[in-house]
Amino acid sequence: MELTRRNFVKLGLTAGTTLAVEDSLGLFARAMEMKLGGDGRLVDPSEDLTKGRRYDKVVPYTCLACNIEDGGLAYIKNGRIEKLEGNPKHPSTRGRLCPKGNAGLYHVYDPDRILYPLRRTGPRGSGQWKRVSWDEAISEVAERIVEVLDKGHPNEIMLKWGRNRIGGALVRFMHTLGSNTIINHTSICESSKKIGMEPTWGPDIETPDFAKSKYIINFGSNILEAAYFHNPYSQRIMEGFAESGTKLVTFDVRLSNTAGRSHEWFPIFPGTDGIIALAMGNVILQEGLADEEFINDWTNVTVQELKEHYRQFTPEDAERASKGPFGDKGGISRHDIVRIAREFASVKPYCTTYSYRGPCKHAYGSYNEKCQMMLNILVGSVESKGGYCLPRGMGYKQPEPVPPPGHEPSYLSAPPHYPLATHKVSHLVPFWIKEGRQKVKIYFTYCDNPVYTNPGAEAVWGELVRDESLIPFFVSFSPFMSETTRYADIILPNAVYLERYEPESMPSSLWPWLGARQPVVKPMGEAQEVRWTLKRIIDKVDPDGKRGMKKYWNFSSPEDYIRQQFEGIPGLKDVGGWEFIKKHGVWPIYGELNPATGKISDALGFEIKAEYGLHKKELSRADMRGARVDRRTGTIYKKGKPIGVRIKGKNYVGFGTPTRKIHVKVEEWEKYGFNPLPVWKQEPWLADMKPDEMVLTTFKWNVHTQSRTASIKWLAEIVHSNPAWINADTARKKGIKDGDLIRITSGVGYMVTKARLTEGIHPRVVAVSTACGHWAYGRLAQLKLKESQPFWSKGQRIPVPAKPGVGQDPDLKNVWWNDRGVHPNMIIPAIADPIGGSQAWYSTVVKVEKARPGDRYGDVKADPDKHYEFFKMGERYAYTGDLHRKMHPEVKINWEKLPKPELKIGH
Amino acid sequence: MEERLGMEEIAEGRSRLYLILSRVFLKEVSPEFLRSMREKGFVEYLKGLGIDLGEDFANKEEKELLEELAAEYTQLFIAPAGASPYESVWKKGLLMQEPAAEALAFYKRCGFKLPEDFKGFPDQIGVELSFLGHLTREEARAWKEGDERLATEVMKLEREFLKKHLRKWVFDFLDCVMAITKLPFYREMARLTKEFLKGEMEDLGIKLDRSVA
Ligand code: SF4
Repeated sequence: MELTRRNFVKLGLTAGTTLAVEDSLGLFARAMEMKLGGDGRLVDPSEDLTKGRRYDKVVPYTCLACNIEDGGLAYIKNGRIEKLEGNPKHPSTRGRLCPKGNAGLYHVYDPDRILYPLRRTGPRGSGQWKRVSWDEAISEVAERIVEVLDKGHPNEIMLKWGRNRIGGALVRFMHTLGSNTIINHTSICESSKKIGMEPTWGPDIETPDFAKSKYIINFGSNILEAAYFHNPYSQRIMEGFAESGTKLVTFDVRLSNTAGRSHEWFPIFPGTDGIIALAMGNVILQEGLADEEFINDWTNVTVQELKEHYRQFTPEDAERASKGPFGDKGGISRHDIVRIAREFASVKPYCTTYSYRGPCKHAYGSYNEKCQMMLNILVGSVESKGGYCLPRGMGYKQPEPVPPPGHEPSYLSAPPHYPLATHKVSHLVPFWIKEGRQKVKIYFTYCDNPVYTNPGAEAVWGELVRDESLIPFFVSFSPFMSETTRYADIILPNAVYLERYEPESMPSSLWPWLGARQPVVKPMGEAQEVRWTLKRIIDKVDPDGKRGMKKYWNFSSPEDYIRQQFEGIPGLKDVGGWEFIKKHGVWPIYGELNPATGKISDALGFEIKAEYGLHKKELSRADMRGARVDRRTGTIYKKGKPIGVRIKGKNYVGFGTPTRKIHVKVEEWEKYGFNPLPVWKQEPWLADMKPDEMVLTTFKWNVHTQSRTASIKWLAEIVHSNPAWINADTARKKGIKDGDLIRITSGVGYMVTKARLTEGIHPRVVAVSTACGHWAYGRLAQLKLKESQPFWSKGQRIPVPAKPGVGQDPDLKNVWWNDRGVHPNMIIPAIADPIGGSQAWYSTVVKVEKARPGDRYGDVKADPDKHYEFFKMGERYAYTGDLHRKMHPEVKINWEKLPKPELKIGH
Repeated sequence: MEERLGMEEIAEGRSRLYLILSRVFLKEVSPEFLRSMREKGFVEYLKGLGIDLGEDFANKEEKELLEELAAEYTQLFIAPAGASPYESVWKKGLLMQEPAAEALAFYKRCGFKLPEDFKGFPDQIGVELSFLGHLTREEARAWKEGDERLATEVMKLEREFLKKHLRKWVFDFLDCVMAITKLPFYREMARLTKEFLKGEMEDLGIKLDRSVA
């Protein structure tokens, strides 16, 4: 018999009658009888639902394509997102999204999304999966949790997140289980910036008033393209250029577009920002340009003390450092240092610095951060119009009751030898697990891709998660098959950001706001919000409430949870609470966007004004009732807590420090042998470089995040590869031409990539962007589709390709590039700032040479053992290490009596 | 089997086959579906047509076979980088684009609806084939009731749906399944689907692309 039509019919009529096809039979129901209409037609073509209105609805949301958290509007038609735009009611965003935000719908509709729970069926990383039901997946996870809990070691459950913007549910989950092993990603990002700032004035970030500033000194921040709050801030900087005559001076190893748009750019040697800022501070102090009253009134040091301390930092020394150990071209001259210091101070207080996040990504990055912050303190531009302002955030609540932390301290979460690194030292966790400093039985990963984004990548985190004896059970909540998730045992796919409820607030302008994400479309497939997944896990772990866990998960839906978070917030309550935010996306609404000015105007058409001088808010009589003033410091205490500071007879709220003044001198640092005053320390491996060596740094493009956007088509078309930027002079000396294959060798491995010659980089630096070079994360990121053509091309049949999934995506025909880039993280060793714990991203010493015979583009090799050696070397700089004192000869304390490292429940 | 088949029978036979093929692609093979295929002579019938589902399919221990089939189903249609079963992906490079909305509108305008709690995709291959299974069932009913005009109108809808929604991608999709699957079951079912749909389209006067070998 043959496959004829007749046989098909017979197949259906005979053998087919007994098959159990209820699932397809029951899929459709009749909504109405099928019969001919009066006009003899069966259906009315005008009923076609796809025609008609341009949009069915517009839903406000908060963007999370990156962490700036801009306000957006989703235009929905037939349940599908047609486009995303900025929310004109949002005081920071002002109606504008960046390219990543505009392309956000691709996160939802990515054909490589994970839409159902998956269980691994082959070895870890083999890519073999079986779909399982949610119930099955959750039962399995719950069983593993119960096993750990019943043995009495809840800390063996670890959760590490990358981007945690879900409003507290992850910590709630861990604390519900009694575990403190909560690991974040901050140490590969800004932690040393935070640590540089927090002890000094309280908050972990600044919100400069760029629009009104006359002078901005930008230390290592690509603020127009990629740095924190780049979308709102680039708007303000342009506004400053146009309306305030703002001058922008940029220090960066690389000519970013921000550097290019600056009035002056200085390509300095990596990490020398600190000494330059100190030298400028010295000029300001010695020339009497400082705001002495501000220093004397508002800080815990005197002008005199500072003058003496700063004297050591000469413009000559700074010039020398800025050129690098071999006196290369570039850097900044002593004359320019003096000039810029004078210019900056001459417009005080309408001046500010900014740093995100170059200076702090060094082994003594916390010092660097503090040095640049000091310039604002010296000229008194703190909290002034056009100056360096405090962040203005708003809070939301945690649904009651809130579970307390677990009973046992976690080494991985609060490593005792990094007591000041209160934002954790997460990138060193794999080494500590390997050394057995803390055991892990279950590892949950949330919106994180450490096998790609962390130093060492596959050679460190890959080594960890491949090893089932170190990580016996590995659960991922990822909606995408990332370099990390592909090693998971179970994947519980999260909804993507446009499908979730999450509260938000960010100090991204001088107007505080509360906002939220809400599903602009329903989650695709069976994807589900992680908050709901966590609740379901807890319900399985504690079905009858006997473990005392259920009570913390008392909400009926993801929306119910967020509704509770926005309940009872003064002001918001009066306008409708959560319903208001749902409708507008943001609260408060300060006014309307004026299309002519691009700014927000109030009801009368005037530009809305910011509030300045938050620290100078006076305490009321009621505040002062029962308060006590410390005679020596002026600090005002109430019920044992500092609530303000008395200065010249006035009672101010002050800053968020223990004395309510700015702590130029940080005593807590001195306790551990660090310098309490602003200083600069260079990593010894940079100071001791050899003449043929260079420094590898990384950077971020305007259209990409670190790891989550390489498969987004609109963005990939703009940037998809990452050749190594190298100074043309340097390259010439090495015989390297533009486009040549080069080999970059660090102490832990090497990579083979292409050279991009440019004058726009310090001669001693080679810079490689991190967004490209994926070996997972979808077909476009890996350029897998390019490897094979569609089945038919130009009328010619192409043999069926061996690679799965090819030929499907018509956009792939338009992919005109065949270079996916080479990712550098494997060859970057993991080293932490002994104070702030930050990864020293920008101080990897490398050799750069023409590729050797046999080298192929994209080769990357790294040795896990060498990574381990570097980690051990880095720990020698911790306060407990043998090199700490050597690095701090100037600190006069009893070095024999440093506090003992203490395992504590803490950060 | 030399008797002439009436229009009603033809429509019914097609309808059943659509529903069977729909079931194959709609979700993993369930124990019931597997048993019904193994027990009732279906396998043998297919063999007669030159479609061999393989030794394992006939003989393997049920649980083991179900696991194997489920893993393969995941690999093909669920996990990233398999053979995407969605029309939107093949046509627009993304999930849930206009083809999905248009398919849904088509169902509605023919008086069909998906369940309230339907979490799948209206343009998934199994859903589209199920829809054709239902349309052809309506056609069979019309023939049975002697309503030739209605039957002809339903056939027009079948033609329109096949042309608009399946013609442009389904053969590439099925080729892709055949190319990448490791199991004879899915390979042969894809082949059967391909041949059946080719016949359907030819019969309804839809011109096939040159690419459909
Ligand atoms: S900067 Fe861009 S990606 Fe980031 S939140 Fe704003 S619009 Fe979204």
